[in-house]
Amino acid sequence: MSDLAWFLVGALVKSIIAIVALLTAFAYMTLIERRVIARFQRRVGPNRAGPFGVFQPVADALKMAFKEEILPTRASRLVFLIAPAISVVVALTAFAVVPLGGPTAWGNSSIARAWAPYVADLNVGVLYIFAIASLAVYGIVLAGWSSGNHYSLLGALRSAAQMVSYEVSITLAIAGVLMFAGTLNMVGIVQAQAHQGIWFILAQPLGFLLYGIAAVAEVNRAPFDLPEAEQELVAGYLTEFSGLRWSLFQMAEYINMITASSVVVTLFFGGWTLGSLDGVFGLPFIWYFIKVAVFLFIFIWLRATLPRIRYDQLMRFGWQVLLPLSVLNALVTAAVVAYGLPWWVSGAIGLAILLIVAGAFYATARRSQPKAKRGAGQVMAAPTSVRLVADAPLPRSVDESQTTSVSASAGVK
Amino acid sequence: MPESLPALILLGLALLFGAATIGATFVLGPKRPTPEKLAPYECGIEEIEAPRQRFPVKYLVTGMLFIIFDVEAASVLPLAILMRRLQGLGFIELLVFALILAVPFIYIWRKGAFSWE
Repeated sequence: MSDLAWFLVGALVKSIIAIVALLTAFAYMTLIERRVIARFQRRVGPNRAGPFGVFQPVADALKMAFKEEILPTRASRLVFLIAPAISVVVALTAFAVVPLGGPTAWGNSSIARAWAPYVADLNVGVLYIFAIASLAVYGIVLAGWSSGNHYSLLGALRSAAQMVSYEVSITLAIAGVLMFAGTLNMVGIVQAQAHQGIWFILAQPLGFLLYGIAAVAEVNRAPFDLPEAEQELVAGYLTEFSGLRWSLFQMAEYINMITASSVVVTLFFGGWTLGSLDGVFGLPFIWYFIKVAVFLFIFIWLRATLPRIRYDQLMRFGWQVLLPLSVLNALVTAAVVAYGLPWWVSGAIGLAILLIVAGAFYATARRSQPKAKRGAGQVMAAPTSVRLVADAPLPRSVDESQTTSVSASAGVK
Repeated sequence: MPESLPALILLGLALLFGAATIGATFVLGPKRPTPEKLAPYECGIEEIEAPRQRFPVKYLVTGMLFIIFDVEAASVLPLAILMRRLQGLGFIELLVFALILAVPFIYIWRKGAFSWE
């Protein structure tokens, strides 16, 4: 077969592999997330379907597929049906340029290159990811608008405003990396890091943090999951969706998380390389997977730890903090790169800016809180069920009734 | 060889997957609609007014700001790629660009476009 034929066959097979792998990763991310969050909250989580609950995603998928799909009378039918598909198609397509290994991972012949572990090697890779990923807002807005429901519409509007606000910062936050790399090609960025002997996180700590925050907001994850704030909006744009159509949105969210983590790994953490250990057969995948898994865990960690922030805070933070800092970071990095200074200068300045901003936040947070001396003239108004360690020892009868109630509630799943 | 062809292939397959899943929703699952089930979800309260009415102009303002600043960001990217080659000129250019954009940024900040209270 000719090179072109191999190229096309390779692309086709790799696309199928990518889609299957992403869907599997999505299924198991839901399980892992539920298990990990359960551990954070001192629960066990789903562990009944198979050993450690490994068949839980299968059970969930089957249940979702055989649920009744509701098509509300107020909904505009066509848009309502298309919207979930848009979300998931966009999420899957954005993954095309993520490199899991170098172009010569399987050898240097043209056939081996056709099977290099990424779907497409675009010279505008980073721009491609952001362009495609930003289309995700269409899925959400159309879903919210077509549902014919107040909650859906409000959730969609919020989401649109949030996503476009943070998108600006995303693009500017990575400008620093692009200056160091000198290319938009994802493979090229990893090779630039290997060539310069650093991960760009060292030269771009501020850029990494800005990108990380904006990426969490961009994929609508906690603490930025305002589009689906259940206390205010039922389930936001998801309110009228059920069954498989609902799971398509979930799919899109998790795949976007995986793509965002992959971008972080590629731009800031050396992609599939680890020092000189990138040429050994099989290892590139392993480093890539480990690094991405760390960031997926951080996504879950954030969700388990942080409360959702308020909408006005969200918008103010995006425009008044993230955007100016991104521009500042771009300027500092531009000065370092343009005048040929060593990479650690931008790293040090970035850290200094980070410390100053963190200090300013700390100071304002302290100032806005009323000054109260701990325990001075205050009466503790805790409910009777709460006993502090410092309190006097409990009478024996109360103590016993508490232990029995604790063991009884522990027995209930 | 066209580099973007594989991305198009992936797009095609993803579209296929999306269409198949949406198609499957018509085949699988029971279909027992009732008027109550198909009514908009309002936590059990009857709908007072139709949605898709006017909504706060703030969202429109945010959309316009997005266009301004995203175009800015998009024009910074080529400059960023060429920074090493442009050297001092590139830095000065970025600085001037940022200063020009700082003026409308401060203006809309003072106008209160970022406050959602």
